[in-house]
Amino acid sequence: MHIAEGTLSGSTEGLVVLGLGWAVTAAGTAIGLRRMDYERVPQVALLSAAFFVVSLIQIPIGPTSVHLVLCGLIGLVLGWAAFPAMLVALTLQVLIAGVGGPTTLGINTFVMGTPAIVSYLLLRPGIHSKSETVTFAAAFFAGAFALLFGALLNASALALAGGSFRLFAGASLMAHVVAMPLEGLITATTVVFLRKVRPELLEAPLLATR
Amino acid sequence: MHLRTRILRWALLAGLASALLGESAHAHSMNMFAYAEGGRIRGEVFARGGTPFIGAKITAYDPQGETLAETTTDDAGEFSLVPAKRCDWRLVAETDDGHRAEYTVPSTELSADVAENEGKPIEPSQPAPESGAAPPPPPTSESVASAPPADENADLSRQVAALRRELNQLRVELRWQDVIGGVGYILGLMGLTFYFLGVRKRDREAGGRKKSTS
Repeated sequence: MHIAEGTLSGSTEGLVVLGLGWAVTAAGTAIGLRRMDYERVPQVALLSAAFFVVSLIQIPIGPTSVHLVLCGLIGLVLGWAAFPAMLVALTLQVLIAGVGGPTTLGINTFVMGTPAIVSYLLLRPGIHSKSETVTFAAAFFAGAFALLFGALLNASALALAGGSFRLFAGASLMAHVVAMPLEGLITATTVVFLRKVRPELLEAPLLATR
Repeated sequence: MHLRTRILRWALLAGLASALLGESAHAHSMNMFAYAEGGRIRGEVFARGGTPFIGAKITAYDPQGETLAETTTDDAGEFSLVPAKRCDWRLVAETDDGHRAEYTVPSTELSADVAENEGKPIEPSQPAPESGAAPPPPPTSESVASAPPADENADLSRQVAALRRELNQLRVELRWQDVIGGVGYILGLMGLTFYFLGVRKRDREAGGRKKSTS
């Protein structure tokens, strides 16, 4: 789900997309940094590290391989601080792993950060529910659909730049079908677990354990 | 905070374990490798770890940026082109979902094959085995004489290609040391943030105290 260096810089529309990506990323990062107080710093750093690591580990499943992104989880826990967390992790991926590129960093952060913020805004109430089932379902939805939303934004960015709109090119359909429930399950399990032992991380009341 | 640390530790352990099991950590970026062999340019497009990219669009450009040829990768992520012109062949692979990779096959690698096609003289930079193996059988025509060394050459170039493919694989492979290094950078950034937030807090407190004493 990374846009590679040089894919967008060929056309005027592509340059506009790159610029828009940077603008949204800059704004999101500014808001995120402003809202990030002392207690938040380790959370941001640790989720940034987790994001950096999990998206580099490919899990081979059948003919394809998937990796986790954790957009939904990062959004639910960090809120707007998801932007600086992802910007840092994606910058390191460019420098260390050669994934994406320096000019596409803005659009890539936008593609990953926006679903995180949307999960935060739409599903935070859901994961604050008193019912464990509702919490689980909301978190599952956040995890699974953040991934789909990210793929949608990615495809739209490429389509706007003059490419053809293909949500899932070739084998990546299979990868998403596998990755969505996996991402949802991991997000949901983590959120329910956090609600039971460290609810303050989600700024939620303690979920009673039965 | 223990919980987050624990989750991170597990993530790291998972990464380490997969690296140690030989399934080293790799990103989903696209890579390409190509070489000239037997009058063709052969190549493959793969993700880190070797998963092939099927149906990726390959476009070949000359150094002036003119399109030379186009093709797509097959079910094994492989492609082949017939080089019609002797120059550096810059190959660009692209998929519809934004992956991109480049690889250049230099003209020096092409020359023997393309020279055969176009009947141009063989360059002086030919590998030694050719000249060493050429003298023994000089029967009737030139073409017969050059046949066995060409065969040997093809064998050699296949082996060299395999070696270079392995080298390229090694170059693009992400090692778990890199991943740990990245995590280290993030922890460093966290420390830096803490430092500056701490300085600001101290200044604010110092300012507050000064105001209260004055």
